[in-house]
Amino acid sequence: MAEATAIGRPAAPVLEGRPGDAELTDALLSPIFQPGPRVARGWLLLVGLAVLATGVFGVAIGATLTLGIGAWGNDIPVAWAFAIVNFVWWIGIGHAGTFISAFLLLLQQSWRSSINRLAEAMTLFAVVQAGLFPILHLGRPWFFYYLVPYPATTGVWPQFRSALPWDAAAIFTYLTVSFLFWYLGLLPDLASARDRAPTRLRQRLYGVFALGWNGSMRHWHRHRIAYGLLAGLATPLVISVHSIVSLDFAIASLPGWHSTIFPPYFVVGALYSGFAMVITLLVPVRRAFGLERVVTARHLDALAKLTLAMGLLITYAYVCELFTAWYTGDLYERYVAFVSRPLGGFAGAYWLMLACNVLAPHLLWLRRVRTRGLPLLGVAVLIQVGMWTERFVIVVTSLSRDFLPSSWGSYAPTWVDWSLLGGSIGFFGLLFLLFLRVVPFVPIAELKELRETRPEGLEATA
Amino acid sequence: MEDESERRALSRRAFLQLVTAAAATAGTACFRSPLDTLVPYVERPPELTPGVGTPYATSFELDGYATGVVVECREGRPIKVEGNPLHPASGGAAGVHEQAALLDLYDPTRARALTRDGEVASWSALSAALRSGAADGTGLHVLLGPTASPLVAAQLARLRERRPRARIHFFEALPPAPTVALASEILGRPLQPLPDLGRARCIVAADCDLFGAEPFALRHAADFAAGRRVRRPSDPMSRLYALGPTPTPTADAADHRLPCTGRAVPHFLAALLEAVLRAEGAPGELTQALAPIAAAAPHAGTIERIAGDLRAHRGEALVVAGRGQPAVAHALAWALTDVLGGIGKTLSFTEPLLADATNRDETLPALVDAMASGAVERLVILEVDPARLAPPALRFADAVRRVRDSVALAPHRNETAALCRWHAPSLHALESWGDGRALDGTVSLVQPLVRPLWEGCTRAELLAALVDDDAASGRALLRTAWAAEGRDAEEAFTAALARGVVEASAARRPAARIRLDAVIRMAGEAAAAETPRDGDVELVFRPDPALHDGRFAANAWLQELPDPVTKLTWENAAWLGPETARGLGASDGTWLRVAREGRSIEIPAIIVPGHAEGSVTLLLGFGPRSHLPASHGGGVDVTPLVPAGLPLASGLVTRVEGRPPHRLARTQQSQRQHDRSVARERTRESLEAAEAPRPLDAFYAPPQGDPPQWAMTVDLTVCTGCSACVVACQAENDVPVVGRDEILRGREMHWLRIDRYAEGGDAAPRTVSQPMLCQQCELAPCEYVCPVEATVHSRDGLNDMVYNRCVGTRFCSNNCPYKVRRFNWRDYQADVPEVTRLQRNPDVTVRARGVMEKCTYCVQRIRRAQIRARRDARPLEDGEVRTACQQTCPTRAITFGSIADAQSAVSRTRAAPQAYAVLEELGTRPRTMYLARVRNPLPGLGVDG
Repeated sequence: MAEATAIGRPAAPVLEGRPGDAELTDALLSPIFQPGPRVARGWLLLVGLAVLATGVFGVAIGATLTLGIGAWGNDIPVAWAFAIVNFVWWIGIGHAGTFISAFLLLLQQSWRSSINRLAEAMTLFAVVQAGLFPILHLGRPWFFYYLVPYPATTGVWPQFRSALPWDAAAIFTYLTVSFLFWYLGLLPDLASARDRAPTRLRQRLYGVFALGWNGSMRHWHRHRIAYGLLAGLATPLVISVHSIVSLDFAIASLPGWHSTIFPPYFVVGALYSGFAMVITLLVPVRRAFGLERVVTARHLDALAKLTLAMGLLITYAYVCELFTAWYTGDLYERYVAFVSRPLGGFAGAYWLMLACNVLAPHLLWLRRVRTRGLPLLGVAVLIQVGMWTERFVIVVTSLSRDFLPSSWGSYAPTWVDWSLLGGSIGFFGLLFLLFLRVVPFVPIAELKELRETRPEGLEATA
Repeated sequence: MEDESERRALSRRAFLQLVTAAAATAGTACFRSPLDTLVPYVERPPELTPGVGTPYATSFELDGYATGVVVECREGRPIKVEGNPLHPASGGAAGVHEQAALLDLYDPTRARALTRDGEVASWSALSAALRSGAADGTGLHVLLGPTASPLVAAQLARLRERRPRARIHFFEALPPAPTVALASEILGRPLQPLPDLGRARCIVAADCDLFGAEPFALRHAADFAAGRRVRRPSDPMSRLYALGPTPTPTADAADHRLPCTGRAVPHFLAALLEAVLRAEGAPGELTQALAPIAAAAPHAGTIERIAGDLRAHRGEALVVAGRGQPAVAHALAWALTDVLGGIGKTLSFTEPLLADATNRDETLPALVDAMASGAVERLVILEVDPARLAPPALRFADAVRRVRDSVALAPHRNETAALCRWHAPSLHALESWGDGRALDGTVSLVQPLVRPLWEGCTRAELLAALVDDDAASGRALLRTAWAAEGRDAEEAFTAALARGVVEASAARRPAARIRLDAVIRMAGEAAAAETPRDGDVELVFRPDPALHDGRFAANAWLQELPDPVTKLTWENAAWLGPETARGLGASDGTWLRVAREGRSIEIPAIIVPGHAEGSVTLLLGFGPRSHLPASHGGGVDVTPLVPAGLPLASGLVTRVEGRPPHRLARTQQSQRQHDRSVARERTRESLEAAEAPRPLDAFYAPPQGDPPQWAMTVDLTVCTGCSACVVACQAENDVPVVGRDEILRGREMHWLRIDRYAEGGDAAPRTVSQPMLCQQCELAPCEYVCPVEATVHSRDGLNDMVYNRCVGTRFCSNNCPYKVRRFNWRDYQADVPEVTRLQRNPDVTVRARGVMEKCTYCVQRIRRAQIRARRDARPLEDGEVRTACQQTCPTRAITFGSIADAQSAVSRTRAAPQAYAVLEELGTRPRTMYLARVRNPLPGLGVDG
């Protein structure tokens, strides 16, 4: 009998049917070794597109490095724009993976098992994109290491009152931990891939990366400890990284940035866009590879609920921000909150942000939307757009209308700006597509474990 | 095959041969090109210390009058212009043109060789051609601009003497006011007026940009400012009424702005004169004669009160009309000043100074007629550009083609030079010998600071070549002319060169009596001659404050200098009042068609609050130029519409349908303060209640340093927004020029900008110009956000920028509430032409791409002064360090010094009741403070007039 959920309806199962070990392994390794011809063709087409977009990304990066930041639309007063927006957006997206993997692991949410690998990979690739932007964004990117506390002969250290060295450290830490966490979880499956590889070369390659995993008790024991420890390490990072990113803004005295609400506000926003991204990726992958039995409506439902919760929190943050601006009575704050954002030159972005981030998630109250792929995907994409726009509103509208009216300005992105945004999406897509066909994107070992530890409740359990 | 193997098997002998040969070549073959003049001094010349600048006094001429300057030369390169404190037109200040003239020296587009029919020619061939015609000068015509230079006057006199049939013509697109001819009529003798603002306490500037377009503007501004520095309500303060169509720095500085069309100005003055005369009890027939003219006066409600105010300042009142006004306006202004007892005090008359000023009928039309009739064999055009600037109806270009030998002396191959057979490059003033006279007659010398970068000659040299067989050098000519004046002592000449001015050379000021009846008769005749047509808009033509009539179009500093009023760069636009714009359905950037006498231009509109309605101001100096890159040809050439003579005309203005609006490259988007008290103003009476400002308590203690502690104050009361400081800063600190496209992107680089705010109604707003530069905050918001310590605080209170540490995160700019930081978005410095780099200040680092930069309080000047003081083992004196902006400011609006010294000038200004810090509520504790704009409106008249 199905367990009842809080609202009294039976929850969908996290794994449908009772596949055997071999069956499960074969099914989950098939995208790597024997994809159907339709899947393979579609994959190649998408990879082609992604390579093209990545090429555009390369050209835009080349333009930035050779011409300087002048190739972008940035100006004084809007000295930060697309690159920072993209950075915050990507790093935000990168939060959901770790949240799903580490947070939910610690909370023993077993439904995470089917999707955590995908979410972690997404995190990793998103953080790669995010990590590129702060470096590209420097006027002299070849001196990016000045932000790193290394023992320089000049005796000069980074300036620790600024948020930026912390930011650099946080991103780097996050990238490292995310990678380790992902890779550690991948080890047993790499071994499975090694064991099933159809060719000698692949066997060798998977063998090298499997680091000699043989599934012994000792290996499992240590793996479990290490995985738990890394989860414990990664969990605070989910909170800290985006808090630090938010300080890039909050420590400034700029109206629209100078706000103590920013750290939690940013973390919530990050998770919000991250969950939306997981949904965006999961729905088509599930469909394409026929994984409806592994990634069930139960997963979509859970993700959608989390997204909705984050949407409500972000709405609360917006309300708080407006209330604070009004309540302080500060002329400049009020101008940004009540004049320049809703009525100024970028009002379109502001209202789009509200529509996407505040209104769209309410569709998720409907069970039909939560459990069906396409509508859910639609909402998720809207939220992605909304969250990018939110960062744009924060960064650009605040800068363009600061204290002295004489220095007010505007901002218009150039082709390089658009190419960097589009190109980074393409590059992310490329990495993700490669990931789909190179490593098992559903954790095989964890699913088997799930099946074994909950033999009775597989049809519908939580 | 054999060869191949032999070569591979290198024998010991062959190896040694090769090594020897290589060693020998290494020692011999690497000579550079033969050393030419780069021989180090065996004995250093006493005046030259490497790394230490040498100042030389010289002067620049504009609109015929000279302004004395002191130019600093470093290792043989002139690198900075300052005013000459001994020169009456400068008083130590330099305006935008003086500051920027330096860049023209290093202009890569200058003509570099004498050409004949476009081919390089020899100077002897030119000399031969110049003397080839009839010995009495038949068929020889000379065209030049108005000039007060005694040397040029002497050459012209010699030309007349030796070539009696030669004819001399004068031309300028916007000619000087017709005051000398007017004086002949109403004073009975040819004289020219010289206002003295230092003695005026109540001034009416009638369409007169005293602090901008008029000669002696720097001096006028300084004299005016001297009467405006108040600290208490009881301090005396002058009052300025500014009348006229166009908002100018003078109108911005005024206590009352009275916008009216240019045509209405004489009516206002007539009404004012009538009111004053009536109150003075003058005979009824005088006032009755004026009454019909006065009836059409604008601002009629204010006239009685202004007349009363003027009468209350008997002997200290001055009414002055501008160069764009007809003779009658000048006559009325003189009459008013006379009735108010100002003649000999606020207004004097001097002997005419411009060469041949008494014989002005040898005009351009006369020349064109002569050319068209084939009577001109040789035409010599000296540094004027009639091919571009003459009214098109004259068909100047067609006429020139009928001249056998035409010679143009011009710095560039401009339209006139391209038209003439010969083009002789003219030398820059910093390469020339010469002289000039200021408006008060003081003679100043022009001496070269550098050998001519390229070949060329001066006006005097070319004029001399018309007469003499072996042309003397510029110095010899000057020396001869000097001797002819009866001052032949070499010591006196040397002393004058050193000082830049000739002592006691000011023009005599004979007593003058205005014939009031003549003025009134004139006014009556002028009123009768007026035939305004319905539907026409008045067109007012003015020289651009930066490019003048286009002669500075090659100068990138001036191209990029924001207009003092509109903040427009690299182009011009038609200035409209808000109501006129509404009537036309025009907004900023709307294309307008302006037509007059069958010719029309299309020009974008710009709405300027405070501009007179029914009037459109068009600025000369813009439009494509044949000799300049397209970037320097922005804007629209309005010369097709310029009338001959008076720069006032009637025209039709319509909107161009279907043409997408033009994006105006302005550096300031909003001139409203949005209720933020950024540029503050107050009335004189309110100073009583005010107490000296106290900085906010800071949560963190501001950093403690050692004396001196640098600080600056800017007095907004006397700042006219003239922008000389902007160019001075650019010259001193190697601030790059970015071009129109980058301006449109909001990437101007000026370390010092001038914000202009307009408050009150659009018809006559109160404006404040606020120089905005790094505020050198004690608790600088930029410093704590920099991740790499690239911007840090110095012990003496400066906010330093460490360029080679900067990685370019731009966080500092985001966190700067004043947005005074500038970022090198591109490699701007690489765009500077090779020759222009010679201008760079060797004491200032050239900034790379990707680096933030900003005002340093001219730290290089501070350090230089400190080194000097330490060498002399004495403390640094107050006022010893002067920043570039401070030094050039005509009104001395900027005070700089140490606040560690309570007695320093800057400490005292900071204690003034109107002192405040911009955005002080943010707790940044800026070291740059402002003295609020104090106004002195006439009680009851209303600030808006």
